Amino acid sequence: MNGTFRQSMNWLHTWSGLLLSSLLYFIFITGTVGYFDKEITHWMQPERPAIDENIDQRNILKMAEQHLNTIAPDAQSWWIEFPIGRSYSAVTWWQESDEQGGKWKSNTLNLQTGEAVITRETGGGKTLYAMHYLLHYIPKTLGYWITSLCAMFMFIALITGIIVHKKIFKEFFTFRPNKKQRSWLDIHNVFSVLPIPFHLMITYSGLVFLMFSSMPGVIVGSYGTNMEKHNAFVESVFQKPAHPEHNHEPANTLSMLDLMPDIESRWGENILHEIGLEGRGTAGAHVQVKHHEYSGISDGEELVYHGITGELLFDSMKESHPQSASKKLYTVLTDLHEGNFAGIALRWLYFISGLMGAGMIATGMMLWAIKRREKSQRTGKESTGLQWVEYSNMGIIVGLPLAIAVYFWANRIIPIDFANRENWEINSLFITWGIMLIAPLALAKKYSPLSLWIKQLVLASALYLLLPVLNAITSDKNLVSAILQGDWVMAGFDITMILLGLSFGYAARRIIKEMKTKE
Amino acid sequence: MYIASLLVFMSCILLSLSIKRHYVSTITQSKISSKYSTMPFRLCGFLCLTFSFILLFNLYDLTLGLVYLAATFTAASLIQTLLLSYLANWINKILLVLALIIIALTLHKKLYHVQMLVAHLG
Amino acid sequence: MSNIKSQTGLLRVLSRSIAAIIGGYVLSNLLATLTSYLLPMPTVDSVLLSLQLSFLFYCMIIIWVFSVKTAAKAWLGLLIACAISVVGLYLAMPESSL
Repeated sequence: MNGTFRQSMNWLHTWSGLLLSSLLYFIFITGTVGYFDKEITHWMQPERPAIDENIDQRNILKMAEQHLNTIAPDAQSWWIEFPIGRSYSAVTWWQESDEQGGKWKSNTLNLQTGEAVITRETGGGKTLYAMHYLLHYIPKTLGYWITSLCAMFMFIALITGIIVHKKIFKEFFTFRPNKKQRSWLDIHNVFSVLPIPFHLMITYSGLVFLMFSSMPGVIVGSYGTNMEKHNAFVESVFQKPAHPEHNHEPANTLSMLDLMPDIESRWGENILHEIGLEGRGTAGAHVQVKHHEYSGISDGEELVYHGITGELLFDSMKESHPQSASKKLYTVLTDLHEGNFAGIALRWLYFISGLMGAGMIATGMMLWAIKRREKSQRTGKESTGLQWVEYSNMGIIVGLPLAIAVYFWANRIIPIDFANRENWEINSLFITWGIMLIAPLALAKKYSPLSLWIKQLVLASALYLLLPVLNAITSDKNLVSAILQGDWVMAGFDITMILLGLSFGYAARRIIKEMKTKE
Repeated sequence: MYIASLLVFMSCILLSLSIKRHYVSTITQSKISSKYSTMPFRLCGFLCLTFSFILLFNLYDLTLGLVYLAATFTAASLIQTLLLSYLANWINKILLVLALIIIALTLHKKLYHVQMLVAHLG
Repeated sequence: MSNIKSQTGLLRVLSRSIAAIIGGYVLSNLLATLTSYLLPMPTVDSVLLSLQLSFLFYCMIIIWVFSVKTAAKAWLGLLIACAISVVGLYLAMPESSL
């Protein structure tokens, strides 16, 4: 293009970063939030019992099987998730028989009574996180395509950013505050360069996650256009170890409790994450048992038992089918992206890195506007679209976290028996975000961009700071009782909301100060 | 694990001080800093990073160890950047305190191992 | 600067962008498919690996498209690369597929 290679790459960096920046910001924020999806769901269903310290898993299994026998005796699959690690409640899952529709359902168990706990219908943290690769309101495949396109733009922005950053080592650790454009560039560099391993990993693994949808040509090249062959290929990639063939001959399947002695002799007590009986009542029944600890970054150990004889069919610790290099690469990339293996400390580090990524995008967006504004003040000519950008940046950057706070508010305010409350929680997120985007544009004639930033920041601050209060008023849980009970998930959520509220408030104060010094 | 993280933090401080711009703003006011004055900082910084990686590799496997290394480095470098901008005068003291804590923790661990060994033999 | 016509006019940028995004997409699929044929591993593994590598190809192609002097050169280069890939595919295609 015009000029040198570096100049072309600079141009490419600006535009590949800017064009889809709002979508990328959305993807990064929802993805970052997603690292705490289970904790968010725990807060969003305050009916759930407080986390039980007493976790005798044999007892829980007995209770769970009794419960499942009462409510789903004809189900084709029964699963029990134990309250361990990041699972904060005992949950029973079952898949209805094919005649009944084959749907998956679940119940949270009250371990004191063995009865189901009635929890409010909510998307919880899971839906918030799923928006990260599905977006919302659009068909799944379209969501995959748009997200992949965004990820590709992000990858180009990262690579070109590294290419053009001349003093990447000399300016490491550099942030010079109070220097206007230079400071914004510095902070953009800090958010981009310091987490480079994370950014490169998360973007490339994101692309790889969606590659079956986004690069079909390669699959067609070897498997033709036959959809069945495609599905067979994907299945063979995700092939699970030694499960008996489907066999619909009726047979008496055993109780999972009977297997516990053998399981405990191999693995010890109270270390299960899940246990599940698939193909109940048929000759092809089998029981899957999963250990809660991860091996490195991969899933934990697994045992598979025959569902009728109780014979051990598969022990992941003894199997020696080494994965192919391609499969290994795929698993490593996807495991790193999801970070399921991360303990609490590492999970917070993932969260901070994700926030820095969102900050990278936000500061990039702002830097563009600030640079163009300073140029227009010097030359007297304004870039086309500069005002649009200046009046939409705050709606995107502050508006989204604000909308997420409203999602949490909606969770407490929408009545429990309201029809479709789950969808309306999500709708309130997007309606709010829409308002935050449109309002500044509508108020552009009356207010300066800075004052609109202040308004949105103050509103966001208030919404976040009041969330713990809302929690206390609208549920039987609150910050103080959570700390006293040792429910650090509930307490942690409330404390994080307070910290976020304070951060937004601090940002608002700084801008107010700056506006005062300008006058 | 804590020793490793603190070592990473220390390495960030040391490495940052080996960069001319930061060396000048923290260690000495003089603009004349030859390559030889920054070299020891750079060397020590990389040594700390190496030690910390060895610790993490022993604690976890290779992939997980690298993940921890990258993640703690990200957080530590962010903290160091903010320190350089806002609390530059404190960096020398922080460096000293950090070194003392790391030595104390390492000795404590070694002492514990020695105790175990003695108990085992006795 | 020796360029008389600026390369950042809207039409030229649009042309180059389409070349990069769509043309690049086609070429990276072709190259990745060719790779899957050439890799000495079972089909499942070679397709899986080529899929994962395809994004590297795509990235390099996009960077190349934006670094050549004119949009026309970019299109020409892409077309030639696609043609060579198609020939390669034809020659390397295993009998059992398609």
